[in-house]
Amino acid sequence: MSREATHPALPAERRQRKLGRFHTPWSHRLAERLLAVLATTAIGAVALIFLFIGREALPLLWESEALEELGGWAGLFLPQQWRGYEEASFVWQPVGHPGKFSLVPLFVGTLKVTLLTMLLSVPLGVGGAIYVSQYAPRRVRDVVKPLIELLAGVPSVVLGFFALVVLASWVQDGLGLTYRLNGLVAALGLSLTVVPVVFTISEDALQTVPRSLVEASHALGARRYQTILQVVLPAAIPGIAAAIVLGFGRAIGETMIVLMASGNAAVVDLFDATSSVRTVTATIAAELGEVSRGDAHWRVLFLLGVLLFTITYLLNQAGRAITEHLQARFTGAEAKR
Amino acid sequence: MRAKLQAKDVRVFYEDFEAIKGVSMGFPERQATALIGPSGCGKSTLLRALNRMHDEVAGARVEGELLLDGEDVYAPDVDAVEVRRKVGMVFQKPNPFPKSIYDNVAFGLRIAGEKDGAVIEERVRSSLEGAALWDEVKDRLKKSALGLSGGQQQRLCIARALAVRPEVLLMDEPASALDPIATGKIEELIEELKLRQTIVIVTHSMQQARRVSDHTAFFYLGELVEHRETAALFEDPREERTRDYVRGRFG
Repeated sequence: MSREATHPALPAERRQRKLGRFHTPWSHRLAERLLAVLATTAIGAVALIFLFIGREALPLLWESEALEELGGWAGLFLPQQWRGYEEASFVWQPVGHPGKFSLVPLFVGTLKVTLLTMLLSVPLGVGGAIYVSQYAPRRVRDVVKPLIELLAGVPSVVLGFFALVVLASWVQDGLGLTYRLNGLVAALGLSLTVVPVVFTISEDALQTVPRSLVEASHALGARRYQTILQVVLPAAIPGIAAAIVLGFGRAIGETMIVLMASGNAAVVDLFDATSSVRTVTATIAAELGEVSRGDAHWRVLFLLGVLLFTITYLLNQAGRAITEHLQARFTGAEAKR
Repeated sequence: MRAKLQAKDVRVFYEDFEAIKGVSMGFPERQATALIGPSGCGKSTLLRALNRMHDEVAGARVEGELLLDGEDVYAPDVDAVEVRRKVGMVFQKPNPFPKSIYDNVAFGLRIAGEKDGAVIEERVRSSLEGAALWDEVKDRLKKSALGLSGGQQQRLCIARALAVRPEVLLMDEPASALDPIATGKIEELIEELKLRQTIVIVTHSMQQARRVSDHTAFFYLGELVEHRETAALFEDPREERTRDYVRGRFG
């Protein structure tokens, strides 16, 4: 029998040798280039967004006319004495006369809704993930997980509508409130989108904890809850922290639900969950279509965008630092890298 | 000779599959019993039945009696967790927790409710000494266990199991993922551990079974074929299948 017959691949192999045996095949190189291009495009798009927002906001730094209309930097950040108000206060009333542009109520609103949302979502999401990954029978998990993930895919306008119509009534009746829409309703609505994010990513993180660690713990006489608290959770902490950071990003950036369910009155009251709230995102969404391009109000809305972007970025970095700290603490002083 | 553990017609099922088909045998106190047999013969399955690890596996079920000092550990009112505190286990692949060396060894004590730091410290030391690891790690107890070599990690896992003072130590191919030198250390260690503990070791290596065990049980397709003193089983097997296996006719 000839050699060609037993090794049909041989002629191709010889052809390749002429090109040099140790060359990376051109198709692999093309694929690598393509991936690099795609990654660069994504990063470039984010950079362009930031540049564009900055370009619209930064002229405030040198256009003294626009800044004056806003009452200067003091008008944006410090309490002002307005006619009809008993004391100096933070007011956002851009279409009043004179326009009042204090940014503080908006950030207080965003902070309040976001914190409330996280307070509701983190225990629910992480607790649910622990139950589904550690306690629930497989059949339950196979049903529950896709259902909760489905919730993450519901358009936020639908969830906003649900919050506006159903949740608002429950909250109003339950707490005996005068007004239907407030920070709590918005936070409940937001939780519908944040819980699935926290749940899914936490559950994945808990699932990937090696079975061998769980067995080691059982074999040492640990009860199930001890294994979960001392072995599974510490090993899954980086993933759970990532889930919380992503959920936080979703909560602080979500627009439609808060626009529909929060009441949108810029009340400065950080500790009353049942007062109306106007968030940064809802303000941008509601007002950007109604201002004339390039005037002071337009610029200040972009400034809000820049500040939101910056704060989100800083909080993400803080979250990452905390995660690394926790990981180091739970895995011994020096984790092997 | 007293049997520390006595299996009576133990059967293990995965769903409908009967992986262990009615095994009755004794494990003599303070001796090492090796379980050998080809892959899939059920030796690891039997080992895991000895400390009720099958409780944690969905679909697994154990029937029969398993007497530890005369008390059936599968009786309805027995808490599996309490059984595992008496019957420790070392796994095939080293599986230290991603914690410090110290915390790994202290783990079993802490979950059992030991609060006294001095007691824990003493026990961590004696366990690491017992696992012949103390000299290598005494200056780095607070460092991550994941920085140790594979052989050190496995001895750490042995120390971790020893720290709760088990009366029986189950070892599931404890040296199969290690190099020959690390394997030698583990085998020496088993010789020492036998002075205080009852050892049951599953192994793929017949040489290892001959070196470390006093008794050897040969399993085939979920059945116990032959169980005798190690030397006798290897020198003069009674059963045809045992003879073929120990002489390397199949594996």
